[in-house]
Amino acid sequence: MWGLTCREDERDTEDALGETFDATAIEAPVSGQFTFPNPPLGLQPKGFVNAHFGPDSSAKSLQFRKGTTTLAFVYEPLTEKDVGGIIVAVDSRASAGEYISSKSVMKILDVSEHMVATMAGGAADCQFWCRTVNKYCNLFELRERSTITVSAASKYFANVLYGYKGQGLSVVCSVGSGSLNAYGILDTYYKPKMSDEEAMSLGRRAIMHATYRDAGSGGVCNLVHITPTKKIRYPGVDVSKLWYEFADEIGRDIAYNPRDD
Amino acid sequence: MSFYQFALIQMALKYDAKHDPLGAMRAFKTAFADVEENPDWRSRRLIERQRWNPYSMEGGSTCAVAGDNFVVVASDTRMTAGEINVINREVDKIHPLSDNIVLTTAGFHGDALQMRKLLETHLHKYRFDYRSNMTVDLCAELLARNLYYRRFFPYYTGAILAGIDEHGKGAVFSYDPIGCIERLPYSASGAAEPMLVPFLDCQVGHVTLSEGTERPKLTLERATALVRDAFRGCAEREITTGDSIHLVIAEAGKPIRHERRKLRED
Repeated sequence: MWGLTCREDERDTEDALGETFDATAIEAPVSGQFTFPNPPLGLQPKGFVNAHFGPDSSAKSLQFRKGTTTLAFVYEPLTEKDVGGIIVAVDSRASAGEYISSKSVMKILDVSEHMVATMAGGAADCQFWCRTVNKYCNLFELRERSTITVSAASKYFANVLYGYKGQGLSVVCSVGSGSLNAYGILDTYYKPKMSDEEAMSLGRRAIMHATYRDAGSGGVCNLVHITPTKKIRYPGVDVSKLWYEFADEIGRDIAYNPRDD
Repeated sequence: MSFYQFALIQMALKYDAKHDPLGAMRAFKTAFADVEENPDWRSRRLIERQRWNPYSMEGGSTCAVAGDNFVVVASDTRMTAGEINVINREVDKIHPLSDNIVLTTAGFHGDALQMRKLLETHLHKYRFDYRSNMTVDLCAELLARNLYYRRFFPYYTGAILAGIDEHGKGAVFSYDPIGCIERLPYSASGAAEPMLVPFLDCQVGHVTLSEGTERPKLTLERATALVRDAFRGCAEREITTGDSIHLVIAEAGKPIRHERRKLRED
């Protein structure tokens, strides 16, 4: 009724397991030739995936994981002791619909020796495509015997993703739904010259405020400091604890107690 | 009439490009996207095809808990069509793939079987090519990629891959339907995931315990008992989970053990 779903000649052949199985399925895909299988009957992938895995579908437990708040900024060292560089800070919540499907996601993904990507939007999309870019960077460095520039890598990334335009991929680097709050903090407190301590606490503070006001963000705050020479990963800090820390810092009582003066 | 003409006419009806160029551009883009999605040559039969649904939600839930040298995987054995109709009471949703890798799935059983077959074939090929068994980390990455390769026509499953890694430690990898992978100490998937995970958060992760409460170490006995309790709880309150629990216990250096327990009879 729906037309052929498998090739005619494939129907009666049986493999050693006694069942039909596409032998090409176990071949590792050749890059450049691999195409993602689309739904049959000329269905649009975006609409199809939305219909069966989207918020209105019947499968509430099978929604894709989404990530949210990530940020990064560049700063110059304030004193001799500081190194400067880039601070990348992220939260760690992955939500599937309204359900928090993970509270310990690592959203800072390695792209190369001196590059990271942060993931917001579709978590699987980000993981997969960052791996693809990672592979490209490694191959580039082996081939050209020089490190790949960030702009080259990001151009490659953009080009790859553009190929899937309109098919519903959702990869956002360095933003997300909590970014508005994070931007608020960054815009207020950002200075071009900062000490390392200050910069890291600014990154954490921006993430903390984003997680406080955005239900889609939360968990722990992971942080990476990229210096001109190396990349330092810092262990996650619980944002709930950060909130109390920062409240102490500005001398604010957590509970609002109206006083009669 | 071509797409372009159609879109242009639609647009021209609404906007004056001279005075509102932005609005006109926006209208053009929406009209064009609309025309592309639903071209007017699409017959009734084609529209009917658009609603084609290859999936069926077959319910059930599954969870896995990793310990120092073991991993406990559990799932219920009920298969339902939609939400209500029980079609099978003794389905195996846990698939031991090798001595130290166990795949467990919830969702569409057809896709689960296909996934199992794919992984089994890969493991077989790996054994043939490298003369050693695949480690659970490798298999986990492999599954993630294979899930993502079906990005636009995904498997309708919530998968968990569990096993003993090369250091002899328990490992649990959780996935979303398109292969967002994460290694966790415990995980659950399927219809009762929102019930199982908070329980495990409390009892295994000790996240929600109040301060000063006793936090017993996770032994194999405790893990099995907890998982059994978790499923008993779910069977009380979740309709697509029930009939019996299938437990698979993998211990470092020991063969995989199966255990079955009856759940409520309703």
